[in-house]
Amino acid sequence: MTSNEKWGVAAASRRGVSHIRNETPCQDAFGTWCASFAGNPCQILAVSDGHGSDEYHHSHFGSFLAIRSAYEEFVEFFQWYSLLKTAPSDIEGLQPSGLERDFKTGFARRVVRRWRENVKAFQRDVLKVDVTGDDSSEHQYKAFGCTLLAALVTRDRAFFFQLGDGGIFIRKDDGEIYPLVEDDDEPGEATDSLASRDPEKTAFTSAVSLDDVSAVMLATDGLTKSFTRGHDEIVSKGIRKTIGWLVNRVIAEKLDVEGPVFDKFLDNCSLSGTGDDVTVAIAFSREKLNCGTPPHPHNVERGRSEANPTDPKRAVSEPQEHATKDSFEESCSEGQPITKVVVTGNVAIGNSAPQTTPPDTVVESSNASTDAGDVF
Amino acid sequence: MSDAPVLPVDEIAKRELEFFLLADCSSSMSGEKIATLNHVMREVVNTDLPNVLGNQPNVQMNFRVIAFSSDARFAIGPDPVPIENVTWQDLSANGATATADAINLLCTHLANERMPKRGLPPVCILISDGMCTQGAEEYERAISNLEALPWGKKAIRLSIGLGKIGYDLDEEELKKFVMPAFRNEIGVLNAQNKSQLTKYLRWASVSASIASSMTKSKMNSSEGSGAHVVLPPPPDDLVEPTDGTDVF
Repeated sequence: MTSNEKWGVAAASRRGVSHIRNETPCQDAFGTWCASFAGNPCQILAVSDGHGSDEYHHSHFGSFLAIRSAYEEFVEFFQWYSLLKTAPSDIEGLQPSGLERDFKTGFARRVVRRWRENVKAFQRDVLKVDVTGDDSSEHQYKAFGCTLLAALVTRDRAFFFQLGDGGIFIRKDDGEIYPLVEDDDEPGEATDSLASRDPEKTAFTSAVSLDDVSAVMLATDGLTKSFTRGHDEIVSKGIRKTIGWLVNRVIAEKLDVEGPVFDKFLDNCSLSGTGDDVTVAIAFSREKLNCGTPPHPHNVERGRSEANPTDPKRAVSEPQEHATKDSFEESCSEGQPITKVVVTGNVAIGNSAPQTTPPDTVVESSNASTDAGDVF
Repeated sequence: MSDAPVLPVDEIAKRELEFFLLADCSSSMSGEKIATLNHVMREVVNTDLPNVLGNQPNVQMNFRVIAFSSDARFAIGPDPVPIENVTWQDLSANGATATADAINLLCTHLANERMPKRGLPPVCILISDGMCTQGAEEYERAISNLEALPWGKKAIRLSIGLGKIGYDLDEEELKKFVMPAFRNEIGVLNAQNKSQLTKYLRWASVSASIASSMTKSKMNSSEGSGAHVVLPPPPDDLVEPTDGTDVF
């Protein structure tokens, strides 16, 4: 068992009933990655929700590009973080604490910039649109508008980013669950967006110790808005119970076989709750939850990698495992089509020359443009 | 395991849509106006709104009526009543026109702590045949209170004026209640006869409910907020040829 086995990841996403009814694509995207750099393991999670209405007609691509951008920025951040943890520098500004300060002040700006670059490249290369004009203008990016929630889990600390609605929840070792960002009680459907003029000003970044944390869950608002929350509650009962169930299944090593059960639950959230796409990504400490071997993938996305310390160039010996076509079809047996854009990364980074392979992309969608697949 | 946690299917809840009708029950509404209002709202509550919700299974509509004459009180409410449980009770007309009190009462129930956390934009329809008898300042203060509330700002607010504008009806006063994004586009729906009142009241109730239930995520924009909801155009202005006997 390698150090990468200490934390596992899983994710699930379902197209909303309102989108099925209206024949519009799923606006949610997600990604999960496990990797290591110089023997330091990490997991990266990201979920994103495109705004979806007519004025955001490319937001299903926007969300896809958002999780890719989060992944790319977290990989870069983690390389430095890992380097500084293993080879501390006495140069001011190259201390891990300095890097954490930079994360809180600069990461949001970098993610936004990376997303804008990815959007422009997509417009130029796929949509064949001449992209000019004021880079700070909302109009240029509006059609791709989306939220973004992302997490980097290292050996001892987790780093979070949130822009827009949805939720990031932390489960402590004592079972208590906390939201990373308290709901601001702002009514209505307006959300902060990557497409806004200065989105980094409304983004939230945080670094927390994992000393007493056993799981972290990210969810789009398709899940968080499916449950009522009392005015005196900071986390709804529905969210608590969802995390409780996931953790219990992890402990029982049954998360993979009960993937379809979870999918059905997400479908119910959409059917009886918001009507929206529903996406969840979770990272859990196998050590603290006393799980054994990593579960096999099913329709619930899983990622694991086994760093081989003797061969840094083969840092990942097994590729990320996607849900197979069979499992998609199995979960589609009730006629519920899944539209899901999966980006997973197979990051191989060695001690000597960093080698980053580009993420592999699987587009599982009846509605996504084939252009999206051509680009990546 | 018998005590294994279960997925919280029972916790899944529909999105709530709060519907408020502010109905003028002053003395001048007596006769055909109040009779038509009662008749139309019975249809709206029993048929139109349930039909709308049939296509929006994720929405739970709660219905309330604030009746105002010399004061303002709930005719249906104050607790929200699920639309499927509403039985329309005929309103009667007698007294002055305390529109400001009605709006202030509405504000009390649009306060954050009284509204559902994940609620859809509430629908607020004001119907009146005259001017507020509490004075312009009182009315302005009530409108300011409404605009200051987060849920007041998000509410889909429409006004229906009964009668001839400029005679007993102050269009500008009623327009202030209308959601800013619709003040020019829709303005005050002016019903001068029974047929127009029927059409406008049904259109306002149904369209606003559909628009609220179909509200999608929209980014906070630095360019100023337009309507976060889209309404279809109201029925064509039906100034039908009359012999003068069917106007209010």
